[in-house]
Amino acid sequence: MQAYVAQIVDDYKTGKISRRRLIQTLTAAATTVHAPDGAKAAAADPTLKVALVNHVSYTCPNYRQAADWYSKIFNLDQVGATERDVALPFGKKGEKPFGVTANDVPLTHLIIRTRDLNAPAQNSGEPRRKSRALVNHIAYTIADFDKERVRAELKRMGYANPRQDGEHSFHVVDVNGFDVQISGIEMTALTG
Amino acid sequence: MIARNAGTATNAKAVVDHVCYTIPNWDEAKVRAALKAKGFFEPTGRDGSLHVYDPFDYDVQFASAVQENAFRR
Repeated sequence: MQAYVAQIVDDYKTGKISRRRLIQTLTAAATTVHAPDGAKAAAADPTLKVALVNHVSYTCPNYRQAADWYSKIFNLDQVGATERDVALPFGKKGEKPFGVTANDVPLTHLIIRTRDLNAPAQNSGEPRRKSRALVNHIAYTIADFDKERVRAELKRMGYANPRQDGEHSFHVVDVNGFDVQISGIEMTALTG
Repeated sequence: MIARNAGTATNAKAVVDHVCYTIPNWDEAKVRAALKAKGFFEPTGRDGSLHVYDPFDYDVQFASAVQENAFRR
């Protein structure tokens, strides 16, 4: 909480947010921390309960080259291509995400783009903030993961020595040097 | 998601500039109210697809199935 407050105050000092926003944010934060039981229950409001990752937005110098790499490695289709981006859904049209029964949860997909990250975001006049965090790799789950078969397939694709990470995953770098982890279903939040 | 403390240096020429999460049963008013209750007073984006920044200025998107679907782009 202290770090969060410090960050908000810093945002105010550097002009990222207004005094009004500072007060609103700190008030909301303080209210959350010291909330009575009823308010705590409201904090557990399921409205923002995430069902699944919708998409991962991957920006690179040449989106066509990167998209082809991901299509080749993960056998993904490319849909909805424009002159600046393309989507790679984890399945075919009409399919549901693995293990999902609800009808309003679309397939997770990659959106691979080429764009200027210094330009204002769509529907926002403000420049994008410079993030101090990053996604340093993404792990993809492979159905029916068989370590030796995956190793052989990666070798066939030019990865002679993929870095093994535990018994159920390998790391390679993609065409842009981005770390990509390929895992079996045994790789979970609880098994790491 | 695995959150870690680490340096942010990377040699990659690509960046994951945001991740979008699907919110089922999207209700515009409820989602905006829930964000406001968490201190996000002015999310950007559009109805059905909203962006906020996390405490490290990382772009986080919430979206409905209608607004963010690979096959409806």
